[in-house]
Amino acid sequence: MKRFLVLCVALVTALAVYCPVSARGREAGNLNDMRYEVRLGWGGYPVADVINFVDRNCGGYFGGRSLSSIYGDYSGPVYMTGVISAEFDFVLRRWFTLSLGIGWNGIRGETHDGVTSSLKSKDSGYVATFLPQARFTYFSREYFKMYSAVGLGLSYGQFRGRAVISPCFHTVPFGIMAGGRVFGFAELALGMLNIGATAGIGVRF
Amino acid sequence: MCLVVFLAVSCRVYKGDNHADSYILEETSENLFAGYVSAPVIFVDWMQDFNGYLFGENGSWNDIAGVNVVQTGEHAYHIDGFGLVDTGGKSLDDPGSVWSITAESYARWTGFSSLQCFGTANDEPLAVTVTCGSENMWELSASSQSGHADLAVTKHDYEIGNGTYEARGDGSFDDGDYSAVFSIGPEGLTIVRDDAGVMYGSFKVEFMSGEQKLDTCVMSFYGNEQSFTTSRD
Repeated sequence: MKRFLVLCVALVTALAVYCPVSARGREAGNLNDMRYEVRLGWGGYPVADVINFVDRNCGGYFGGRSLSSIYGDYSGPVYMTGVISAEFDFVLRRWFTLSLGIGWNGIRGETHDGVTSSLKSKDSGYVATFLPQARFTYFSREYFKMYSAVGLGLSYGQFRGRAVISPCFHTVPFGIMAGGRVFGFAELALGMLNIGATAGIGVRF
Repeated sequence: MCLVVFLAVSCRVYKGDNHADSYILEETSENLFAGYVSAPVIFVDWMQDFNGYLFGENGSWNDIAGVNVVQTGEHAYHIDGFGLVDTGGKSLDDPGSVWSITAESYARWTGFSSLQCFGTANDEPLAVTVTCGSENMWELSASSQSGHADLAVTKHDYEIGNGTYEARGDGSFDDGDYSAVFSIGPEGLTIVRDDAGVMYGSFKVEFMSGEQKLDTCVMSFYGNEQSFTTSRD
């Protein structure tokens, strides 16, 4: 893990200090010359978190339920916020951006007594993910871009007495960003962080 | 304020566990009835045909498509798709005869009158001991790993594939910290072994935790129809 982080820092530093001659000649104030982005986003279905933290009571026999599963303590509905993410991005090339992001998914639920159905406890938890991503921009205009991304990070979560540390492999097969210094973005995510549509806003500087 | 916003955007990812409600009580009662009452009675009906093949004049057993019978011991037989039958060398209708039946596990019981029916629905092997008390009357003892039932069965107006049986008795099912105690109603249970599955009578289940009664479910049969009354209605 430590070597991985050192390698990331070295890569960012090497790419940051090497500027092509053509980039220096651009008109000052061009959005594509801005080297940094900050993004805030939300969305997608956190399938890995659901698998890790939601135990489905499928019972044993009698068509799927044993007496113990019928009358034991049971879980009420479980809710998740979805992944709320914050990123700091290094625009190293017009076609390549290194993103360092943190995602947070909140979890809540209730546990009930199996015989009386009375509330026994209110449960809450979270999953936090550190996710560096490599973003590849294959269509770039000043106010509109299309890209894909891939990343590998680490997740830590806890809920109902269970703590899970797991790797997080994530991809964005398709993403777009539109706007000027302040922009909006939308992505189709497919990975261990979440699956589905995510969106958000960002600032370039 | 942020927490309120975050909670407001939560979505449900799991509807919650199944737990005791009227539907689950009905379903569990149905399975207990099927496994420990109607299945043993139907086995007696099936064994009438096998008994006729072994000890009677009509040897038509092997005419039934897809059913193979292999003799595995002096008086023991394996019936394909059903299980093991040990006759003890006596006809099922002889007073004092004892037949031992073991319905195969991991099989599905369809409730049909043909011999392509199988064992129990709960994937536990069901052993049934059938003891002939007198003409057309048997004592049944049905047991699996977790449950047991004692039944008295009387046959009325029997014809091949269309017998009428009256059953009385009770039993229990043990699941560790919880159990179910069940019984046929005082008026008895009448089962007509035709394709319509006609039944009359009632079947009561009490769900227990130790000595504490948690719930009840009563199944009432009116011919082709049945109704449920549970403590969670």
